[in-house]
Amino acid sequence: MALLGFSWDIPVLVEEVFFGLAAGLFIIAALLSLRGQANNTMIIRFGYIGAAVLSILGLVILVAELGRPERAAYAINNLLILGTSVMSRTVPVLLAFTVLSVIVLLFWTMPSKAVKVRRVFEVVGLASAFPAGMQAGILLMAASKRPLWNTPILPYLYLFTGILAAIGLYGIVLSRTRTSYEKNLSLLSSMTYYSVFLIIVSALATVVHLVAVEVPEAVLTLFANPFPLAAPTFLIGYILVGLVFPAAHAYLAYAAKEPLSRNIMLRFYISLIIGAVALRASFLYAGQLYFR
Amino acid sequence: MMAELFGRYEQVKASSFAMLFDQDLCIGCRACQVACKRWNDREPLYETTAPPELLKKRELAKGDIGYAGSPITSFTNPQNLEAHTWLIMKFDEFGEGDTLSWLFTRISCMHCVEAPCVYGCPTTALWKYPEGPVVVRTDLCIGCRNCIETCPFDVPRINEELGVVEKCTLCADRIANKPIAVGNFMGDTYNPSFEIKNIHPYNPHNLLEPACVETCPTDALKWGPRDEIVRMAQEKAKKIGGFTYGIEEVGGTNVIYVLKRPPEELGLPRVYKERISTKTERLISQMNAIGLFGLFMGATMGVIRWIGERKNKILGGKGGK
Repeated sequence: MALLGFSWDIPVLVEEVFFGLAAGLFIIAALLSLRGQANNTMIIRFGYIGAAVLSILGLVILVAELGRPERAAYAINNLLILGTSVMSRTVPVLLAFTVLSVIVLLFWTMPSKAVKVRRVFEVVGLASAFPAGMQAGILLMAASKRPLWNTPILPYLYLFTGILAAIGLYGIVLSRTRTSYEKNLSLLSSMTYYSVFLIIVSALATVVHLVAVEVPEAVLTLFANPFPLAAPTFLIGYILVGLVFPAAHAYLAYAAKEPLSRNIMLRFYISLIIGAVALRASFLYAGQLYFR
Repeated sequence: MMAELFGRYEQVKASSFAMLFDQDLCIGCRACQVACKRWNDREPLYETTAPPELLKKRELAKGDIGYAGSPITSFTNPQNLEAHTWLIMKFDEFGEGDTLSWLFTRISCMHCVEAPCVYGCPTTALWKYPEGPVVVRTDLCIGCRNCIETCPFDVPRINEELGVVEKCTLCADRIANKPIAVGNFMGDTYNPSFEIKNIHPYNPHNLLEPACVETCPTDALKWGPRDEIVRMAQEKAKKIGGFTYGIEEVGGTNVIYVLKRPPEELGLPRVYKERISTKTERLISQMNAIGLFGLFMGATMGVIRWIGERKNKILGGKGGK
């Protein structure tokens, strides 16, 4: 499925986005649920549905994009025989996360039943959501041919932007109508507070990652290579739309000392999702455009 | 059983076989390319899946001449490795005084002692044999292309038709298994076939060389125990004032080059020197350390916040006094 002529192409990008978003949705839903936010039942359920659907779709895409999908189960072989392959090591993580997200979702069909058991699954699911959110970054980090990916920061960058994209999705759902927006203002403010914190951490992680890349020419492909829009996607999509716009909105909110209008907040949430997608797209393609 | 058939780093480095490519002796006849295709029953040319225009753009975008892909006017033919072309000789022209001279560089799998493709392959389809070859066991390959993204020499290629990756095997069927001896010619010009006379038991003295080594008319390709090949490469490089490639790259390889010019000038990749296990586990340890530090910082901030909230609550309970 080499649509653009790259060995890891659009299906891999879609899988990266889906698992990043699924992990982010699960983490936020689990934290809301575990903190006993009973009045947020609708949004917690939305988060779990999103996590389950996206992780299942991610797995399906992951298998479908293989050259021989019918042999997908062999991907565990290395873990059983040699235990060296990073890809093989991440397979159980993704499977566990997908299964747990489905189980937790089933519990949430009747939220008042078996609360203690549900919480156990939520805690285990939360623990699996972090490595699942980092999985794409871990896989790229271990691809030794591509210096642009070879830093230990990349998995965290993917995790943080995945959570930011999930915040964006929650924000859009909560702000879908004016009534809903006003009703959930407290939760939205809280999420905005955490997203500002995460934007700063992501920006710092991006800088540290780019400085830590051992081959400066590899970073240049990210900054200056127009094909296939790697540099514009990174500079405009991730840096400008994904980081600077939300940071500017957050500053406006801080300066105004009152909640921003629904329209501005919607733009803020959409830009978080665009940023996460742009980061993954630009890194995936710019990384493959350079090797020593 | 499986562990016995797998070549561990120390074992391979100490007692495997290796190939020497001596650029000083190569005349660019490409007999090795032909021998490779014939022995491994490869198609003359497998269509590249990416549009040529796209590949050209990628070469230009990269800013330098591609590893195996030379400009279209080059004598290198085929232009690059692909699923049915496991070995090419790259033709480069260099100016020396008033004259131009050719240099021919072997482009194929380097059969790393600790191969990143084997280390990263999730299915163990890529396998390192103790004798030296890194082989794709295509019946296990799932076509995830992880090996393509990890090979520092840019060697494995996907066979879109079969959905699996293919590459040079170092003629593992000749060197690592029981070699066959062919007898009388039994076919005709259009359907050649030979009588198989004998199958010798495996021992280090009756090994067949890889097909490319056997066919090389100038002895530019040599085959032997790795430590001996390393010694020969170092001696020859010293004698001609040349360079070696493969002794240290990725912690050592089972194909070693003696080059007349620096590897970078010949378009060979600048490859890290550490073993892939060291590199990968270092990155994972650093990632874990960052995670633990982040967890510690998060927990500390949580405790500080909890103390602050509790203090406010107590003060609030006392009327804020």
